[in-house]
Amino acid sequence: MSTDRDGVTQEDLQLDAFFTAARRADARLPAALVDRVAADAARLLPPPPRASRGRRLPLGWLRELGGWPAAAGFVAASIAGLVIGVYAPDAVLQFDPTATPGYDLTDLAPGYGFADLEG
Amino acid sequence: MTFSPADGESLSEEALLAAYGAGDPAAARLLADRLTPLAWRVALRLLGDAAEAEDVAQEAMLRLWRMAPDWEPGRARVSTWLYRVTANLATDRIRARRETGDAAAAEAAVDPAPSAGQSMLDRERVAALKEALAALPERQRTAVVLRHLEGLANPEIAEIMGIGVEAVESLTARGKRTLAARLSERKEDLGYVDGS
Repeated sequence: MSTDRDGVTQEDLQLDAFFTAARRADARLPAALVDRVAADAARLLPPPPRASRGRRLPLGWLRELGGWPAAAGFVAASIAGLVIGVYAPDAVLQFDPTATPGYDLTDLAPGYGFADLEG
Repeated sequence: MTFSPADGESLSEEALLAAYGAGDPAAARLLADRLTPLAWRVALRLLGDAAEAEDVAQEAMLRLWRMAPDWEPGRARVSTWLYRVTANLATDRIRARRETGDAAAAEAAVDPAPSAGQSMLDRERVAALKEALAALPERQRTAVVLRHLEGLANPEIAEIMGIGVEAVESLTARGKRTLAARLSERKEDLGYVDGS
């Protein structure tokens, strides 16, 4: 068996002529076959996935409030309030919003001459 | 989502199969048009019989439709999967022929009409190659057909046949040696020059 520099044998070259002839001789695909295959495909076509909207819980209000992150924050704040109420009830009971003393602007900025602004 | 025929050119087979699995009838037709020729051609080359090749191609495509909803993207190429299924179905038929002693009938099966531009020498070469291929052991025949008629690379053939690349190389080398020996017996008729 003779071999050239690329390692291609004379045998390869001879066989290539046969392979090339076979590739060129490709017969025509029967059109009826494609139709039968397409008919099988239509018969076995999986049903489209059902729209999941109907199965969802009615949670539109939750989305309006900010979705699950907002709900998680709300629940965490509620639990924190409950814990404070149970373990430190005095802090809650002593809190009286009506007892909050009133403030005047001068209490907040005593060095500022508000009287001068009155014209 | 539906696809137009123009989409079929640009979309991958994997995308079309995923669309079919999601119930898209347009994807079904596009896949049938694109993949049926592949299945039929390789079945014809392995079996050498047009009627059997049609049956095998239709069965391979039927399995594709059934598998579509469970297709895992990225696992393999659709064409590779189809080559494997078609080759396995064809091999089953070749074995069944041998078990029933029907090899002579299969070899005498009528081929589709040759193309108009085919020369007499080409026709004789094609017929001789078909005969020599039919005499090869199944795995050698599959490897040679996939490598030299389908033009696939050895790694893809290895994936299709479920063997290593070295095994593919060994199968094709042995197959070609046997083919060369058989064809050289008719070298005067076929223009085969014995290079040994």
